[in-house]
Amino acid sequence: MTELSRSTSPVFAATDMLHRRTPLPHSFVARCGVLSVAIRANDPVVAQGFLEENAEDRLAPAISGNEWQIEITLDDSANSAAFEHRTWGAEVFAFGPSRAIRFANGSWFAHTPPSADGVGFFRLSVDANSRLRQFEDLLRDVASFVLDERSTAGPPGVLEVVA
Amino acid sequence: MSSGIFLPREAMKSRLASASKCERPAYAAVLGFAGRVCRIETNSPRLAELACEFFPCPAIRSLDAFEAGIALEVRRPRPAYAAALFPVFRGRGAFVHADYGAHGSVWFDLKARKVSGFISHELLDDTELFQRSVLAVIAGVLAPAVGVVGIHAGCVVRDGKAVLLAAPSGAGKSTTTLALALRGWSLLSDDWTYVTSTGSGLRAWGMKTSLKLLPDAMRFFPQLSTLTAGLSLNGELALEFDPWRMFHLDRAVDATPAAIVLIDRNSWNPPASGCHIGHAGREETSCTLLADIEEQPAEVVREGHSALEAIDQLAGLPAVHALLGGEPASAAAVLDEFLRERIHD
Repeated sequence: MTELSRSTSPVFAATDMLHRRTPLPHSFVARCGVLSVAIRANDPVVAQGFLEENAEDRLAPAISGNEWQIEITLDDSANSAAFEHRTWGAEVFAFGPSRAIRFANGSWFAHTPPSADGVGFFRLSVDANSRLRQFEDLLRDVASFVLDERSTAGPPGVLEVVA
Repeated sequence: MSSGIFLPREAMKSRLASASKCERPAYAAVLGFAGRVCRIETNSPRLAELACEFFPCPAIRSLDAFEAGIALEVRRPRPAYAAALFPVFRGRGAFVHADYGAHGSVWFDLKARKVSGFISHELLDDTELFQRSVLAVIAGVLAPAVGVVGIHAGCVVRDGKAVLLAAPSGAGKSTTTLALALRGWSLLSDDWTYVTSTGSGLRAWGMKTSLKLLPDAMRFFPQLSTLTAGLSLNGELALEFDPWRMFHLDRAVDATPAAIVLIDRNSWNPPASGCHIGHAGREETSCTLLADIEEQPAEVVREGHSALEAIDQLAGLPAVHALLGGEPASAAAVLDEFLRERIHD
């Protein structure tokens, strides 16, 4: 908990247990397959790196039809190969009308179909290069998840994707 | 649950289809939280039993009265890649995830007022931890969605009247609450008090969670020297204990708010001992209570039950600020005498 609390101001630490007040000041547009998504995040390195590596996305419309709000937390252990979110698989949950995917490294994303708007929490490496790659991989997998959810009406109850 | 590689899209679709054939939960119960009625479904009779003990159910008028739905499955833990029991909470918009690592995930859709997830047998077996880190968390997160306002204040009760003790973290809420409880007040809450507003007025509610004090409280309450400090849910190092087992303290479940005490221990000129009490204005009270209120997304807050409205009503109650000095017992003695007179007025 203490490691994961870095991105929240200590002023809020005692009462902002959900980290809702973590600001997401960096915005950029990402194209994930057929999805064009406006992303709001709290990590300048990811935002800058993403824009540099995806120069054409600077030309994308500033306002996209979908918005993903993503809080990024940096974690020392995210440098290790064992941390890679694809190593262990993922779980998919249904709760009420909403769906969420949780990756094994603790990163997650949730939304309410059919809307592709959603919110997420990504645990990424402190190393800038690894961080950007992990971020892009997670975006890609979240896009797959959202597109799947749009094409299949999920049943109620807890669902699980076991790798 | 076994480990493996991430599923590609097509595999994910087929897994979703097969997962939908899971058995329905076998046990259902009706729970009460701050006068609200919720329904829980689970595959575990033990979980249903503990939830009913923690959230005693009021009489319900009809089955349409459920204000939130909870589905919790008990199963084997996830693989050992993340064995910690210590939860990580994250929320954004209407979504909240309580992540217990290997021991479970609980998801909240506050707009739909639905909670769903799983926990491990190990987490359920640690009753105190399950109550504190799962059941109390469910209540606290769900509160705004069911018209309940969480106030960062301790609360003690006498003759059905509640006194809320507000202060920033670490300023002495819990210590003062405990010191007053040791002078005969019933303990309703030491940290978060839940407030509802109905046609008949305000109501304060507590939960039967552990009491939490910072480790230096051992200086004032020698009974606590048998305890070992541990990390609490907000990351603070703290002593957590059952107030009944440790001090045989009475607990109150609900009461009518009658007064507010704004606790201050950080002023430059505290009394050497005891407590200086002064009048607190409506604005000061309102600002203090608002300081720790978490702003909720509009889609989450139930209409007519905003925190601002509840705080406005609370700020209209008689209020004092109390500058504490010396040992908690001496400050509580002064405060106790003052409050007894004030409440009976």
